[in-house]
Amino acid sequence: MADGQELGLRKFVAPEFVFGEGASRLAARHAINLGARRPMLVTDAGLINSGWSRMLEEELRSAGLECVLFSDITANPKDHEVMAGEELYRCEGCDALVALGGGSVLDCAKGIGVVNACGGHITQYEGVDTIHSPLPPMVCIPTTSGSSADVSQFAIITDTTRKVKIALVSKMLVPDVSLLDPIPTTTMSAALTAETGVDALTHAIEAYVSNANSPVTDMFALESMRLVHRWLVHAVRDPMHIKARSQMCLASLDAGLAFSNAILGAVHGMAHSLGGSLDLPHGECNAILLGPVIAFNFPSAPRRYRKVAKALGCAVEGLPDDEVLDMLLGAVKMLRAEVNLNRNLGELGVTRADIPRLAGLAMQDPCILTNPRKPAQADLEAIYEAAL
Amino acid sequence: MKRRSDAPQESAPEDLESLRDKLMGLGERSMRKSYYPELRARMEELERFRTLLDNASDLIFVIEADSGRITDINETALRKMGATREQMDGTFLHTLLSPGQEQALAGLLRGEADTLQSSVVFNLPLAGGGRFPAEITTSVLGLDHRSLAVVMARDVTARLESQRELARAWGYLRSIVDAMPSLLVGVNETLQITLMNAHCAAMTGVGAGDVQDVGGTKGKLLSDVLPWLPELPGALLETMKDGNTRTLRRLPGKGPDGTAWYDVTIFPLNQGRHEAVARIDDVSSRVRMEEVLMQTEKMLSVGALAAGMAHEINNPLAGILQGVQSVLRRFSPDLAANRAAAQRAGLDLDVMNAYLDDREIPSMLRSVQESGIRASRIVSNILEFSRRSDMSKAQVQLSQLVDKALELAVNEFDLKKKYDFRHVRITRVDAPDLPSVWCVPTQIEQVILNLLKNAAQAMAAAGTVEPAITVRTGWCDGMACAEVEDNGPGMPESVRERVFEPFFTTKGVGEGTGLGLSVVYYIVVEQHEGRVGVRSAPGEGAAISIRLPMNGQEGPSRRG
Repeated sequence: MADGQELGLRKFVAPEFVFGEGASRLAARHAINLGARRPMLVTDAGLINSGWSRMLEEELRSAGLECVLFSDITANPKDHEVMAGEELYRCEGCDALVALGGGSVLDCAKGIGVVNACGGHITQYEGVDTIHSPLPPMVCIPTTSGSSADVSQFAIITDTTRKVKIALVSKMLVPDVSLLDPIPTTTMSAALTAETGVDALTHAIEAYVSNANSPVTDMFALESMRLVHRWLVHAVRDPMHIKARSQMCLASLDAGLAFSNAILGAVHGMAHSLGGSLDLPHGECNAILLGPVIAFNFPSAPRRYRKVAKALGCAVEGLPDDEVLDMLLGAVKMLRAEVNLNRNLGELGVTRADIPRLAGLAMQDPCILTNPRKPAQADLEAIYEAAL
Repeated sequence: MKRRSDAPQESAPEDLESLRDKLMGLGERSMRKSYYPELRARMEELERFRTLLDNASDLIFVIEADSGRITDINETALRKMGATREQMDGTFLHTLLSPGQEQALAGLLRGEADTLQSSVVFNLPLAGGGRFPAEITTSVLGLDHRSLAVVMARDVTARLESQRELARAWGYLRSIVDAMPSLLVGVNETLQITLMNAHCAAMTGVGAGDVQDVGGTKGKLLSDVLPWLPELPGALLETMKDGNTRTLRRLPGKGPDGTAWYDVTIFPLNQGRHEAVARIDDVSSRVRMEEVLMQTEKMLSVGALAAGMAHEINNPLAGILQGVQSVLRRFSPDLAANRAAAQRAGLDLDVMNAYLDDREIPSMLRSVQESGIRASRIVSNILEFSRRSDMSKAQVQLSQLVDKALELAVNEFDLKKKYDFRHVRITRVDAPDLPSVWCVPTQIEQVILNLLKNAAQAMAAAGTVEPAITVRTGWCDGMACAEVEDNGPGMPESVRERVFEPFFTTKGVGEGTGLGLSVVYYIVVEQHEGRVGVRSAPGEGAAISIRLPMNGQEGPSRRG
């Protein structure tokens, strides 16, 4: 069906965004235009250390904005971090959010906005369309090229009580403005560049083969795959390669526009399960699971996977499906090797005993719903097994 | 897909389909974030609020707390002051006030005066000229890092007017209550004083501040304020209980001049509270008047009786005197008719007279004559009293009258009555500069004589060992005063109260007529508009005083 041509209703939502070198310098202007007087700058320790946070803070202050800093955020942002941030936001009388960081920071900022607008606890808003009031104005400056939280309708927060990642899905979560600037991404480590780049690739592939795909998202998805294939290795090997950084920004943007509207698939469903229960890095989990999921899904969308393979540089013209699959899996494996993401789940500490629980959680992840092939829990267990 | 629910892993296909639609943004509630719905709700709220403010009956200003600059104002204020929003924009609130009120406003904004506790009235300009009194309350609040003050002004013209009216009415009623010569005192059911008029406050020496306040905490107790009317509390409580008005008559109590009598009327207050009010009237003068009237009444009837008797006695007495006179004349040898009659009868007048003299008949007849004359004088005296004539009033020295009276007293040696002035030590104390008094000298002589005799008789009857009488003359309260004091047995109150009553006597039958002191009373009070007084206690002697007005010459006695 995902492979078919018939088309139901499709919606496309994207934030206002500015792309290009120096886009992040426009943060103050956009915050002011959105009515901010006392924004909260949400970021993390890494960006404070790299100096990007201070630079942005000074720009906001020099524009006359009283800036409140919140940076107590870890990877896979936790519910209590969101609640602490919201309390600070409320107590300080903040009126807008300026988020500077990777997916964790942006998702946490979204969480702060949700709790501030709707009250209660962040875990109340798990699910789709549960947010009833608009969030405060939000300006996003992504410093990684991969999470695409700066354009997506998703926020993934860890429920530390139940030890699961919960997904908040709502068009309300689409930021007001995203400033996509390659410059801040230059301070990413090679490993982070690789992880986020593969994340972007996974977004693009999953959106493309999603049963909610559309012609509009297809364009962004395929272009994103091509850009990752072309530029990720450069970006990993040469951090200051502005052209590569810039193109990876674009790849992330394209992938984000695609998956925010066409949604994802089993890779993300299963990666969320790993991140929630074992706090494993999201990008690396995606890199590990991508191949086994492609192998599982391929029969349901062979024509689409053929185009994926093509976008990733495989010469698949006229080849039979099974060869296309082999080439595609090979391309993925090669990319992982080139960016040094070779570990498997076993090396990350996952044991066979974890698998039934991981599969059970993944079965309940909304991303599974748009996977081109409907899996049974046993299928997911087999995939985890293959990725060990 | 909610993990929280315990939904089975395999949800119904329709549910999964609709969840997928929602993920794709096709759910009913899926929309890009928009502030418009809330904005519109807020705008409507604002509009309602604005309407509310503009239609409020109070004038509302929003001003900068430190400068007093008006930043917002409601329609009521504009209408009331006859100004437009443009005129008001940027003006300062204190420029609208009457001169001299700026400081008070500044104090209000600094929070120095608590407008919740005390209202502050300012004068604001009125549309079409003039000013109106406005009670102002302020609340200062921080907004947008500025200190703003919401100033609410309420036109209190009508209220002030009604307050004045109320105060005037209250003052009017209060002054009526205070002007009453009665004592008014109100109490509640615990007998705490809730009301007291000025007269009562002055009388009891209690300040108005001691009257129970609204809180009812510091009311004085009735028994502390009016201890000398012990019957009052019980009567008040009864009235509160049964709601009936009651009157207590002639309660003895304390007055400015000692003992006094009061009439008390008690009525319930029907104000929803359990209270009763007592009206206390000093009726001492009326009581005394009544007593005097009773006395006078009694005396008048006795006087009339005596006058009638005297008149009736006078005729036979005249016959007796005439008869005695004729008998004496007809014994006389000097008359030709006597001699002729004796010759016809062959009687020697000289022999007869020798016989008569020998048997002392002429002296007996003269004794009859003297007694008759004396009786006649008494009768004429009684008649004189009853005529209450002041015909023979003259200007005389009181001390001279005392001299004559003493002379008479000493001569009235009376064995039968067992008293003798020669055994009584008489002391005279005369004020040296006493002017003469306008009076009937013989009557006042009689008065003093009666007083002396009364004292001497009392001492003799009691067997006082060294009887002594002190007679004083002098001044007393602007009147001439004479007092006769003895060191005799004195008298109890029961006697003292009745000494001036006619025919009241402590002596045995035949020893006294009971008229002596009532004659004193008549002469002094009725004939001379003076006063009589008794000072006595058992074993301490007695002093009876008379006072005579000095200005008696100005006219005849009203009763003359």
